[in-house]
Amino acid sequence: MPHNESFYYAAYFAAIGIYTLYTISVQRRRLSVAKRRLAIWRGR
Amino acid sequence: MTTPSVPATATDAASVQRTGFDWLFAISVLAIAAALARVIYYTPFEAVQGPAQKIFYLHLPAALDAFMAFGVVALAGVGYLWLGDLRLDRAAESSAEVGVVFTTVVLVTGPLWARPVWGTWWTWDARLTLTLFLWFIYVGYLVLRGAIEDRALRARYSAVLGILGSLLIPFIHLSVYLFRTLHPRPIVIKPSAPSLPPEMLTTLSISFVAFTLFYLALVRQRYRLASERDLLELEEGR
Repeated sequence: MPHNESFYYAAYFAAIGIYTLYTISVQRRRLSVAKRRLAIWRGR
Repeated sequence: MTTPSVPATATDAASVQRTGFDWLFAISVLAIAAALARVIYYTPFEAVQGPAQKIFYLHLPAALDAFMAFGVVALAGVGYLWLGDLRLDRAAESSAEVGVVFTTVVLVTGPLWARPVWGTWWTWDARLTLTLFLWFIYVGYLVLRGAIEDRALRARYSAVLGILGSLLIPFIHLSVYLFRTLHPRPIVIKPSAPSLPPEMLTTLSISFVAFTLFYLALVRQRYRLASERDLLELEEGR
């Protein structure tokens, strides 16, 4: 049943895409919090 | 992966953040790469379903890890209500968010598998509908957390919702026995031996271990974000 190969690829690309976007989102939020904490620390 | 570093303050002993290369994250990514290589190159196609069946090695580990994640939310919620320790609330928050991500993967890969095999993207049967409800409950959990300013109140209310939401998990697992559904019954997690050929079972096990490591790595990263946010709230005097 080779015609359903595209669904197999689509599922893997979608899943890896979701995991990657989430990982980037956590790192971006950590960076944003770190910048705000750094700004407070420098202001003291 | 390097993580952002800021000087620690004296306001909280937990402010000392570990930084540098995240070995757990790196190992989990390597494990996923190894699992995918085995799925693609060393696991045979299923005779009837063909290539689409290989979505299984992504779909089932994501579902099991999502259930585990929400189980952790419930346990941490019980722990928080009992002990009042904010570290447990941070663990619950982190696990809930990662659980929502894994459930999203389940809800995306499921229809991509269903379309070629069942002939439809979606059907409102018990297993699928309850899984969608589980996703809504924990998205609601995250929205609730964002809506409550008071730190202790946020932790208490979300602990209750996290515990109640997890009660859906056994129903989702048993839904294929309790109702007539299109979704197949468990072929691995059942009282009798798994009904999978050994090469497929090995691939599934490797994939499950890899994605569980990834779940742990993501929760650890997210926990650090939660700790840093709590410190920021303290430092901003909120």
